Amino acid sequence: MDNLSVSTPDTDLQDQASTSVNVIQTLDLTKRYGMRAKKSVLAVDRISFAVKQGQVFGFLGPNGSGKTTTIGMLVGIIMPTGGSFRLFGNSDSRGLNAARARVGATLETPNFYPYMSGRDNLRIVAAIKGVNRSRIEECLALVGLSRRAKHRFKTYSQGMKQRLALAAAMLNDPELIVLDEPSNGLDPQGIREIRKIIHTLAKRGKTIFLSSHLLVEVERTCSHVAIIRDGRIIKWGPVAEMVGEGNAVLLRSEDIEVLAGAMEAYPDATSVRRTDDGIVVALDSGDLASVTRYLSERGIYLSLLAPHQPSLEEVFIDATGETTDSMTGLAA
Amino acid sequence: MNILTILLRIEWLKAAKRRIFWVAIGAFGLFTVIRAVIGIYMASTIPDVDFTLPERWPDILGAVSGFGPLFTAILMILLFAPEFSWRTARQNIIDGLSKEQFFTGKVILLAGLVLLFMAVAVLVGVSSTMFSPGESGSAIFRPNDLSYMGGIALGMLIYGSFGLVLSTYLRSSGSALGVLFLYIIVEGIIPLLTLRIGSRTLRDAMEFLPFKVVENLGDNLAYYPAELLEMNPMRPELDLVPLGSPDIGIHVIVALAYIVVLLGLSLLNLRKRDL
Repeated sequence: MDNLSVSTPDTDLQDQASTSVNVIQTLDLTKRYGMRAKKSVLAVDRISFAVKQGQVFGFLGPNGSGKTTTIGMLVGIIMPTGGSFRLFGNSDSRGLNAARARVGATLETPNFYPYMSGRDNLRIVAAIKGVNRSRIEECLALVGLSRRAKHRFKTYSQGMKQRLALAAAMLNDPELIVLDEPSNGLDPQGIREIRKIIHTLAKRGKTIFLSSHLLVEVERTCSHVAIIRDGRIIKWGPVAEMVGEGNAVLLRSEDIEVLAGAMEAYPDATSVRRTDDGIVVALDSGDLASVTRYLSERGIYLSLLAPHQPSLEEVFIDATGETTDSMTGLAA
Repeated sequence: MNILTILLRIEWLKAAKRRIFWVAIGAFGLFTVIRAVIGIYMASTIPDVDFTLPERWPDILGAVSGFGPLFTAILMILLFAPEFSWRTARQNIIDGLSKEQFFTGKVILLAGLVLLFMAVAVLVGVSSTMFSPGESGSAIFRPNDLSYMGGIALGMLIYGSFGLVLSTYLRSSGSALGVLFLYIIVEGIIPLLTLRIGSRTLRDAMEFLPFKVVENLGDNLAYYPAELLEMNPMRPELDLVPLGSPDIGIHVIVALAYIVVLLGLSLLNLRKRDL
């Protein structure tokens, strides 16, 4: 187990940087689009995080939160306007170019030459990455595209395009694989297959940086997660610790509405949320005796009081205040 | 394999699979063949005119100097600009090319296109003499022919660099082609406007506008002074002013400067802007 703990981004990054090898490390990384102050958009706002070797790191956030811009800066297609980052310890231009040879990445929608076959597209990627042609066939087989490899890219379905992008990213057997929304456009079966491939890669010791807006995908796939909103990382750490943190309790009584109303007025409650089983209350302290006393004083008697371990979805809601309608994803 | 060979291979893979590439090469070859066929026909009908090499290079290359540069610019735009709309330029960088290497690939593509067009012209010229009446001279090329080829190639490089810079800035083949044709029209109008001003210095300066430089580099009289000497004595009898020829040396320097500036602007833009 590594030494990453659940933390806000600005804490202990320097310590981590000095004590272990980070595959990715950003420090106050910033991207502002547009020069004029009034019209400019701050897409990424001084974000700092670190990804260590062997981690499957989820980068979670709603659409437009700055995920793709962050990855764009890491892979060299977007110029940062502030802060810095390191890839495999390199931060200068030449070092970053060399480090990128150890990275396989897909960004947003798969981008290939539409008039060329899947195999020919991979030949170009292979020429860039300096790998031989036999590896192309291996990767096509790995993503299940061997039979359609000779067909033109423009005839591919969205799922096939995603698979080809994954094959391209894996072509040079990279140490770090960066996947931006790999489940986009995939059916449940396709999502399962991508997840399986990610698990296989993780077992082989690859570091994976998975950007997604699908909570289920991140919770099932990742060991660590950073939550980004409006260009800022608001929480990051190991998934297991993140979902296990806090003092949340599940409460139920005869009249749920009365119970919820009372708990909303309870001074120690940081959030109150209705669920199918009752209400989930996050408490500043874990003082359950005070809760029962407070409720009984108001004539409310509990039929259930149990500790509650939040899902990543709940952590996300607590951290961002966002609804998750578009983010829960397919539970494939 | 060194990086230049790798970049050449990548650009070849990209171009060779595009239909437009082969259509352009075919059309270029066809125009050159038509010019050669006209020459062969004239040789067969007019006494004392032989379609033989190296004597007929001025005719064949003259045709190439007319449409070759524009072909280069158009093909450069059609091959390069879509890399932005398909987002394959960004994918190439993600896959491991640096922006400088990506740009170098495009310069290699441009040089390759120029060489290919010149090779097609030479091939057509050499093969057409096989069907021509008359006997060929002892050598296929004279030094003047090679200089003329060099001048035309420089002209193609200027147009191609112009296509490259438009593609980089506008990132759309439609817009880039539109601006290219617009500029050609504007550059044609500017010298006419300066005629009204009457300043000789300004009129002389018009000779060094980018595409005028290309035109001057493709002027065969500059490479074959004997033709000039042959034609000029007849002109006063026909009430025509004697012809002159541009100073190729200064035009070569200006052409190289244009190429460096255009490529430099393109590289700067590529470096600065997000993909």
